[in-house]
Amino acid sequence: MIMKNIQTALIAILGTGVVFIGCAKMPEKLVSPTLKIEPVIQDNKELFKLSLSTGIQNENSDTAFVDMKGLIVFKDGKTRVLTVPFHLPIVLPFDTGIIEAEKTFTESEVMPLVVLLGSDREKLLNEKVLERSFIDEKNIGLELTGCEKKNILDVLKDKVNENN
Amino acid sequence: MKIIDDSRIYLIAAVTALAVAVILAAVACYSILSVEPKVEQLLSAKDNVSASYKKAYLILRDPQVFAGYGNFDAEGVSVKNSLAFFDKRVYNGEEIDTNRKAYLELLLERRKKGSVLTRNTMVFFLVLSLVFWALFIQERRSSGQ
Repeated sequence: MIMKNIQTALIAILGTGVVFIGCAKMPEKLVSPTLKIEPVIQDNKELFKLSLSTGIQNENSDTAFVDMKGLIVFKDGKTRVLTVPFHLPIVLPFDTGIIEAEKTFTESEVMPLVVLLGSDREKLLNEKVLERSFIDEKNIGLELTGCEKKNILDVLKDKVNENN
Repeated sequence: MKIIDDSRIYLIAAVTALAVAVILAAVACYSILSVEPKVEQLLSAKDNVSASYKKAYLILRDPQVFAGYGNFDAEGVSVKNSLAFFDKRVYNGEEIDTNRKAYLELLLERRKKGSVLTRNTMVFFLVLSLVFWALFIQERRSSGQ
């Protein structure tokens, strides 16, 4: 009877440990996003090039995020205004993965974002560029579509063996 | 008046505390007698320094159970920064030269502190166990068994 109770207690403790190990803290927000929208001519068409620079922080001590894919979502309330895909090969623990995304959009695609950022078509065409360094957190979000969580020790050991 | 025999409770407490002390002793001994000397040996390497330092770092990257890398106070920030620095170096296959030895020693120091904490906790549980054994013996004597 006592042995059975000890076994149950051990299973519960180990089970809790497994759950905690599996719970790496996932990044929820972007670090210092800066954005630039410029009108460009491509194949005789007037398009708009969006350049986005931001970072994703890995706050875990022992988990590396490998092959991280996702979308940076610009939103007005609950409405999605525009999305920019990104891919990071790896984000090491306590490190910030830098995202430098660039994508070209048509006028109809980009204008809702331009308006959301407090500008308009005429102003953008006159000034030739729209730049924002501080974007309200409620207007920008992060959606992860794929990410492999790996123990940092395994990642580093694989890398050392690969280099030898 | 009925005399309550608490000897069973004392026995269970004494055995449990002793078991915890034995586990902690094993953890502390493994770190003090096996891991730390191995790291010190690697850090004192004169040839092939970078490879030795990388081996030492891989050992240190697996923290001592009482000196995990999950939480840091103001003093521990340098440890956190060292981890971020060495992770990047090792991952990118960059060399680690002797100028960085001090930061590896910082990680070793954290592990040593963890071992001391484990050892002290082991002593606490050992003393606790001895107290419960003493109470157990006294209880058995007073109940005339």
